[in-house]
This record gives sequence, C-alpha cells and structure tokens, in this order.
Amino acid sequence: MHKYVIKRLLMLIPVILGITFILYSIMTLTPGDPVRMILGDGATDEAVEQMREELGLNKGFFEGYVDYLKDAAHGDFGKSYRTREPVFNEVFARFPNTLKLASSAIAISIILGVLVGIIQAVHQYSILDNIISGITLICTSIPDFWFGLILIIIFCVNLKLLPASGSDHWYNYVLPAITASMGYTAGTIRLTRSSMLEVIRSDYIRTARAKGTDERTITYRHALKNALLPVVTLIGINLGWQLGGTIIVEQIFAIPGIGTLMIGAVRSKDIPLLMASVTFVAVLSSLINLGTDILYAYIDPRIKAEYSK
Amino acid sequence: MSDFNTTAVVDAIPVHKYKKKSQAYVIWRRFKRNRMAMIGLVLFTIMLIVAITAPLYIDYDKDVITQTISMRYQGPSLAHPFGTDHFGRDIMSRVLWGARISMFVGVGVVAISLFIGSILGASAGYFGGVYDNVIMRIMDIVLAIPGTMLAITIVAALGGGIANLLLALGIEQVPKMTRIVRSSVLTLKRQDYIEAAKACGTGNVRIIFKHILPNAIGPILVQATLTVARTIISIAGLSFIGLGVLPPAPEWGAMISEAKTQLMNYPYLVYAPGIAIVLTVTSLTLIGDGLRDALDPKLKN
Repeated sequence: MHKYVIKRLLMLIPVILGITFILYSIMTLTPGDPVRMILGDGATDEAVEQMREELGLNKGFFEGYVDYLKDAAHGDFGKSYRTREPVFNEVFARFPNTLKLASSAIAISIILGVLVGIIQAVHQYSILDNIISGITLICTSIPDFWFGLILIIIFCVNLKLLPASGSDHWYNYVLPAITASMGYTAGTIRLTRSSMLEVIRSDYIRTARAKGTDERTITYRHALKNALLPVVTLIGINLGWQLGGTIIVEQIFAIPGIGTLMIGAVRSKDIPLLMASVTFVAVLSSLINLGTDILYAYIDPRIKAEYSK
Repeated sequence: MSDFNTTAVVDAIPVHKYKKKSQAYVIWRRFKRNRMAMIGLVLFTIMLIVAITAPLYIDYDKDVITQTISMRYQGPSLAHPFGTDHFGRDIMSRVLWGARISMFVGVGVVAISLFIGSILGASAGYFGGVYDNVIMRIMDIVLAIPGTMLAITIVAALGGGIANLLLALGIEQVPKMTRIVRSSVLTLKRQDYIEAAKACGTGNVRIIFKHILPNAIGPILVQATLTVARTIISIAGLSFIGLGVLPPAPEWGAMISEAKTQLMNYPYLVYAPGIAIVLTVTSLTLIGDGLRDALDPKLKN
C-alpha cells in the first residue's frame, strides 16, 4: 500500500512538468505580446523593452522554461504580470470560493444521487423508474450555463427569491451549486441505480431474503454497502473535475473563483498566473483521486489485498 | 432408404437460414429493437436533414446576420416563431443555421481526435514496450489538465474561430480516443487471425489498418457518437464565454450569451438555442447508448 501511494505521488512530478511545459509552449509560441497588452498600443519601444527585462520575457524559449522550473523548485512560482504579487497569493485568495462551490455541488450530487438511485433500483421498471431515467438522461444533455440562466429566470427574475450574483453570503451559492451539481447528480443517480441492481441479484442478498430479513434491512444494510463502492470512486473523480470545471458556472454567477482568475490570466497572457492556477487545480485533483483510491482500499478489503501484492 | 431420409431432412431446412448474416446487420437488428435508440436516431436524422438543407430556405446574409433594428425584441409570433433578438434577427433562422455549425464542429472534432487517437492508440497497443509507455504517460499528463481549461487556453492563445475551436477541442479529446483504440487493439492483437496474417508476412501497418482497426470499430463508434454529443456542449460553452465561434455566426452558445444580457426583460431569447442543444445532445446520447447495448448485449442491465 505504501509503495503504491509513493509511486502515485512520484507520478505527479512528470504531470507537473508536462502541464507547465504544455501551457508554457502554448502561451509563448502563439501570437500576442503580454507586455504590449499591459502597456497598451501607445507604449514606446524602450518602455516595452524595459518591461520585458523586468518580467524576464527577453529570454529564449527553453532558457525561460528552465529558469521558471529552477525558481519553482525553490518555491518561487513567479509574480503575476498585472498585480506584481506572488501568483499563489492570488490563487489562494480565490480558491476558497471555488472550493465552496465545488464541495456544495458535490454534496448535493451525493445526497440526491444516491437517494434517487436507490429508489429507482428498488422500483426497477416501474413508471417512477422510467420517468427518473428520462429526467437524468436530459439532465446529462443540458449545458450547465443554460441551466444556470433558466434558474436565474425562475428564481431571480420571476420569483425574486435568490440573488443572481455575488459570493458573500451562503445564499449566493444556492443557484451556482445546483447548476454545477446537475450533471454530476445525474451521473451519480445512473451509477447508483445500475450498481444497486447488480448487487441485488447476488447470492448473499438471496440468502438474506431466504432468512426472512425484511426488504428495508436488505436494501440499506446489506446491498447498499457494496453498491456504494463504485459510487465512491465516481464522487472522488467528480470532486477533482469540479475544482477545474466550475469555470463556466463561476462566469454566469460572477463568483471570483479559480475559474474566473484563470480566464482573466489567459486573456491578458499572464503566463505565471495561468501556469500556477492550472497546475494547482490539476495537482489537487490528482491528489483527490489518490485519496479516493486509498479510501477505497479501506472500505473494500479485496482492493487492499490487491495493492499489497 | 436411409439415403432418402437424409435428403428429405436437408431439403426441409430452408436454404436461406444458412446464408451468413453480416455482423453489421445483426447489430442493426438489435439496435432497431431498442425503442429509445430509435427515437434518438429519428430525431438526429431530422436535425441532420434540417442542418444540411438549411441553405435551401434560409438566406444566410438576409435572414441570419442582417440587422434590422426596427424589428428588435419582437416576441414570438407567426412570422418569427421564436421572436427576434437585440439586432432584430429572426431567432428561428439563427437556431436552424446554428445546427450546421454545431454539427460540423462536433463531427470535425471527432474526426481530428479519432485520426490522431487511432494512429497513437493503435501503434501504442500494437508495438507495446517503451513506445507504448511513453505515449500513454503523455496522454495521462494531458488528461490531468482539466479539459475545459486546456481548451480555453488553446483558443485564447490562438484566437476564436471555427478552425481554432476544432484544434482545441480535438486536442482535448485525443487522450480518450487513444485509450479506447489502444485497449481494443490490445485484445485483438493476440487473436489467431492476426498471428496468421503475420505468418503470411503482412506488414505491421497493413495489419493495423486492414485487420485490427476494422474489428475494433464498435467501441470506437460508441465513443465517437458520445464525443460528438459532449463536444456540442463544449463548443456552446466556449462560445458562451466569448472564446468560441465569432459573431455574427449564429452559434447556439453565442446566442445564449447574447441573450444573457437581456435576461431580465426578454427571457424568451434564451429558450430556443438551449432547447436545440438539449435535443441534439440527447438524441446523440440515445444513439450512443443504443449502439453500446447493440454491440454488447451482455452489458445491458
């Protein structure tokens, strides 16, 4: 197990190198000069040259990248071109908003997803099952930004119940969290349903029935425990995706999170800020996935035995 | 006497039962029995026909992009079933034309990612070893970057427009295609007929493209269908944040983005393009799920 965890942690090194290199190449090799963007079109050539020097942009392609890595290895990830603050100050200032949004969205998808999935599996082929299947199918096909706007029309414009933007109070997060959770909830429902159906057919459930155990105990005590195993993995993957995937939802509801930060960085060619925010999210979601796998080993002894081989 | 009997028995069995049915026909028959999949197929075919024939009854310059300020914000009526937008353009014409853009980019992205993914995945799976390891680790790295972020970065760096959108979303999808093709090749390459082809001295490239890939088409087709569906949502999402198809082209996401500013006064602007996306994506998902079930009936619960 330890060996496995260490191996997975070591895998993060090439991932970080790869991501930074891909982003660095995209940003430096494409047209558009960050210095001109900061200074505007009227800037003199001397001023541009001076700023290039300041930002370390006058180096060659590989030299610039190697220098970035050297500094990063010493914990210096560079300063934002615009604010001149160390990049991680900004990343950490924005991150709590994204975390709040992502975790509340995931919480909704777990509670709603597992509950509805169980109900569907218990009543397989009933009208209720078919209706819910139809709804989940459509939910996976609705673009989140459109769904968000529809929610705004209903709850902000017509009912005037909730605010359409802002990030200061808990109720600012209600609509964004519902919007961000929709697709994931539908996925959790589908997986819980099919995994429950598979488990319900297994021999030990038949044994429990033969013993005369009542259906409720069978569903919630016997079947659910095993049926939730794949769901745990899905939730881990979802949380990882959510952290990087709330970009568009943040845009709709004007939440100052990592996504908004990243889009700003891309638009103004703020290379250090972009590399820091994307790498941060990617590493975090890799760590969450690793955490899920470890958790998985603890709840399923069969998997643990597999790792220690 | 016994001779006579045998002949009679053989004659009694209708000859056509021995005719070998092609695999595609068997799969199509299973697909046809799936009601939801057929609904998806019919829906998608209708939309495809609409998209292809749109130029016959819609004039792009006159109906789709010409601004008539006097006609702005007309609610739904007979002349304009979905109303008109902030430039007085007919929303129905724009939504119908938008199907052309979304489907073209959706299919284009799959074609690009499938082309690159097939070459990388098939060669990685077939040759194995260090080459396989290097390719797959690179794919792991690309997969570790959140998909939307990668696409946004590429489009923002290269600028908007359909060509860059194709490239950005195509690159985003390459790792998934590579994995699917590779896993199919891994199972196929150990089969006897590949061994036989090798024994005949067939070259590696020919074995991959003539003998392995045609047999791996099933899972690839399922993935391709579902990818077109996901891509249509991604295109709309990128256009929504202003990083996709450039105005005045009537892309669905861009239309929703324009409608967003008038949410308080003219909410009807948002509905039509959104419903168009949902219908297209749902129909493709139904086809993809139906194909998967038809290809491997065991998987169906």
